[in-house]
Amino acid sequence: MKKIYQIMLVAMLVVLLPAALLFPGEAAEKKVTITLMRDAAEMPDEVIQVFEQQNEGIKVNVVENDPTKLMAMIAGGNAPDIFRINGIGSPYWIRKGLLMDITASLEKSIDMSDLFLVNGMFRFDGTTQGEGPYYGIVKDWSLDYMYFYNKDALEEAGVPTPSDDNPLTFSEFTDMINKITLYKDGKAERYGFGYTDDEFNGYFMYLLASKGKFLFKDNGTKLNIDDPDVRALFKWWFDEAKVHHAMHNPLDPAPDWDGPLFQAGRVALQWDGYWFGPIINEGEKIPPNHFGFAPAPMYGSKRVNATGGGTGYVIYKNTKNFEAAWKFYEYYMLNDEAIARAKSGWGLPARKSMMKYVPQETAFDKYRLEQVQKELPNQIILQFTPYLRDSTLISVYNQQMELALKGEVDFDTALKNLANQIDSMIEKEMK
Amino acid sequence: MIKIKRETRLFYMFVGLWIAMFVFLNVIPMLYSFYLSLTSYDGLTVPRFIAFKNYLTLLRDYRFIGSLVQTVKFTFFNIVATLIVSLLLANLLNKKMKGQVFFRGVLFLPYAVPVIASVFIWKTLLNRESGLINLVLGMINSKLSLNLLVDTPMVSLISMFVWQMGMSMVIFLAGLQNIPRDLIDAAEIDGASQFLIFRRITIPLLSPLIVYQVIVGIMLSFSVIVQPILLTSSPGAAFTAFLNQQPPYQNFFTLIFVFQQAFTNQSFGIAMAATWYMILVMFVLSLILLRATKRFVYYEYE
Amino acid sequence: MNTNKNTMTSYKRYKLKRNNNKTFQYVLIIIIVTIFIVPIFWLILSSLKTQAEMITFPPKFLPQEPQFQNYILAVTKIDYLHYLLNTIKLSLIYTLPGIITAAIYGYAFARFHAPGKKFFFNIVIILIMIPPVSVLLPEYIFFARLHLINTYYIWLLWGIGGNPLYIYLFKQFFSYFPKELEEAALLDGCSRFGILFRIFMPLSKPIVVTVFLHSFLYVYGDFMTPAILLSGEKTTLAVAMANGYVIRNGILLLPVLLSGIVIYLIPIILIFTFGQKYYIQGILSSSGVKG
Repeated sequence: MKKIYQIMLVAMLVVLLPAALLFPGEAAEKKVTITLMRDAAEMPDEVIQVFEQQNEGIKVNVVENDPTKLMAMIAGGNAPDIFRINGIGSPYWIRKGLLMDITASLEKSIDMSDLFLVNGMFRFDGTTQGEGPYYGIVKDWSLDYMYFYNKDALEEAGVPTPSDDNPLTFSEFTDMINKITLYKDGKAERYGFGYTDDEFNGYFMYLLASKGKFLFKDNGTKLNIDDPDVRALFKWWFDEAKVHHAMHNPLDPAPDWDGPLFQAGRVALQWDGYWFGPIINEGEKIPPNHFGFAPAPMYGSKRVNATGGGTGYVIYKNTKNFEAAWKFYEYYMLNDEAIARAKSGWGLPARKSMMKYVPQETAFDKYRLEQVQKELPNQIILQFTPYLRDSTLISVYNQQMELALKGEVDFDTALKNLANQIDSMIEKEMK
Repeated sequence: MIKIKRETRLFYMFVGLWIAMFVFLNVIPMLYSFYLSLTSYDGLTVPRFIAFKNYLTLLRDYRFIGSLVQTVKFTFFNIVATLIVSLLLANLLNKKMKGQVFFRGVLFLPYAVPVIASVFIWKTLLNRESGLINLVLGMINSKLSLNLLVDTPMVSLISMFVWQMGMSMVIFLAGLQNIPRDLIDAAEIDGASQFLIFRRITIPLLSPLIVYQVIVGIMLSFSVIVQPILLTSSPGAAFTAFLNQQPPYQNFFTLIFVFQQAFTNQSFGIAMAATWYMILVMFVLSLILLRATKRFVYYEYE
Repeated sequence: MNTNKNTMTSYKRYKLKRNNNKTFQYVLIIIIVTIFIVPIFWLILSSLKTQAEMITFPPKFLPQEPQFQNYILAVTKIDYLHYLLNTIKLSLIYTLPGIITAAIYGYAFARFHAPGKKFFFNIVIILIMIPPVSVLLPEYIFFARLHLINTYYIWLLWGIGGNPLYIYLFKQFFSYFPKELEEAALLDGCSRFGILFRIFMPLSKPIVVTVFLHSFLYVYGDFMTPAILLSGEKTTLAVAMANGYVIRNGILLLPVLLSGIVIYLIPIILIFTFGQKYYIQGILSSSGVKG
């Protein structure tokens, strides 16, 4: 073969073949493209396809929900137009100027009084969460501090079932979970309660609210660690893990998340609110009527309940395609898709007018809806600091407390380190 | 003279593209990373130059220092365990026997199992309540159980890597087969025991391979990030929030610290500074290794 | 013929000891191989259970009824074939240019003398020691500014840039070829380039196969890099599996994930069973892996 052919052959292999694989034929289209970061299970592709069909001029570029990826995209300058955050942590994003104020658009689309109080988690005026303009709304929500309990487990432990109407006090609640925990031969056979890993600082916040106290002080610039009630709660959570093995924790890791465990009877109580209902409905081992649904335990004298997560979608402040993004927002958050979500029974709708779609067919579904409605008047908006993302406190807790759980340091030192780390992170933010 | 010049020209023609790509793909990101390490960058606003403050802060951060210690510890034990096991297995499989090819294949296969798969497999093996190991132990005696993931996290992690030592074993097999048969035969005739042959002939002749594997091993061990987190994570959050999960402090490696600083704590500057410290430590380790073994390594020719 | 009784007995003893040794070693190998298979065996067993069965206490060995539908779900819940094709595409984009460039660069380092060669080769060695994961973050920002995120071009660039490990392997391998080979070819008027591709490469089949398999396997199993640099439709199977087997609220379907993993392993098992000959023999016969 002539030399020239050799070189051509090599060039082909090196460049053209892979290049051919790279160009499956991308036609230039005169469409507006919006980038959407979504959770694949929540928002299946069909939902997006229907939207694209209804809106010919808009193409949706989909990115998988990943907090790491989100930060990388923002740092790299190609943030998604619409993305998903928890309402509880919204003050941080709002303070940083990353979210679009959608109050005006909302007012044009719907009657604002149709929105439940919970949407206030996405409102912030610089000092108070729940006041000020709207930067997003929840996609659905639940009163998270009510709990489902396994009646059989309570019977086995000789614990009386909690009342449907009157909440237990916090110490009664603690007693109950400790009694229904089964820890034998060093194995966690049954956990006393289950919880959402990403959001457990919410428990502290709502419990404190019952005493009129807050997790952060001085306008969210310091962890309120000097307050004895706050310390008591941290200690409580710590002891429940280390001493009572009441919930899954670094010393007693669970092989799967609480859902299947609850269905299998390995978690006796799920402290996660209304949205856990479908898990019970779908569980094949234990029929729904073996479960009860009780109001949130009270730490102080005030009866409160709240939403711990408040997952919703927001629009990026510097989006280049606001109209297109808003169209999608309306579609998914306010209209058809919101109705579909309400019908699924996984959460309450953001709009009061959609409550009629919430499932009430089975006795169990009717019962849990009734219980929620009894608690609604006690709802408040939890206050989180605008200087940290909601996941940060949990992350730092895990970082510092693990050593104490394993006995490497004592609790008070670990707690002090935790507070110091949080406070210094906040300080850095303030600079 | 002309001949040399032409050869030089040819060399750079062949290698020129590599040099260009090296600068583009390696040098520039590394320079950028170094620049970021001298700033306080939160990923959202403009970086602010603060010179070497990050480096000083890190020296006083007990979590960072701790992570370096754990990483070095892990690297050491991981390499030792993997190389010993793979060397012994290669030795065993070096002899002709029935099913030799099958055995080699089976021992090699785990190497090809990708990271996420092996982590989940190991989780379902080692879990205290529902794992296979405790299931078997429970059949012997119901009071017997091991909380491996919690009590011995580094051992659990390393056992997974040892399971995946296939590549290492094959490389040693190659080396073993290159040992001239006459040397071994001569030694056997002289009455040397298998042990002695192994110690005095095999290992010295394999020494360049061992050194090579240790150096690559250092690099691979320092790159470990996914497995320690997922091995003890709570599946509830699956992968999307895996950086919020905390591995046990024994498995808290520097690269995990780096990623947490960047994505959870929004301190890209510190993250980059930590990365550079990490690279420095790796280099120092490799250099020490190379110097220390220069005397012991036998090269056939150089 | 040696009729000395003592010598004959001691020889017999020696042989007996050797045979015992051999049997012992054989048994040892069988035990070890069994231990190594156990995790895979447990993987397959677990993939046939329901989610509840995987976590019941006390734990059960066998599933009540094998849940073969987990496998069906594994390939339907995510567009398995699509992501598999993505992964293969990406592997080829990285591997094919990668082999050629590694050969070219390795050849240059092995067979030429030039000032600065040692310096650059030292850089290659240093590059081997830098874990790609640690530069992932600045690389993300770097590629983002170039608008290359979520494209396969990045891998193409990496392929052209050459993986230092493969460059090293080729260099070592090529350095063992006798000089006469080249001199003869040069006398016949062959260019250096021609020498590389018409003489050296055909003789390097084992190394080429090794590099191909190693590189392909690397991309196939890589999680962190595509997780950060790719998204949505274009991502690889590893990432799609990690994110895809979830139902509402991020709940992971563990047995389905395990089924997906079993299916994921099948191509690897096939390639390595059949390619094992080349792959392992490749490394075996390439004295290039030495020193």
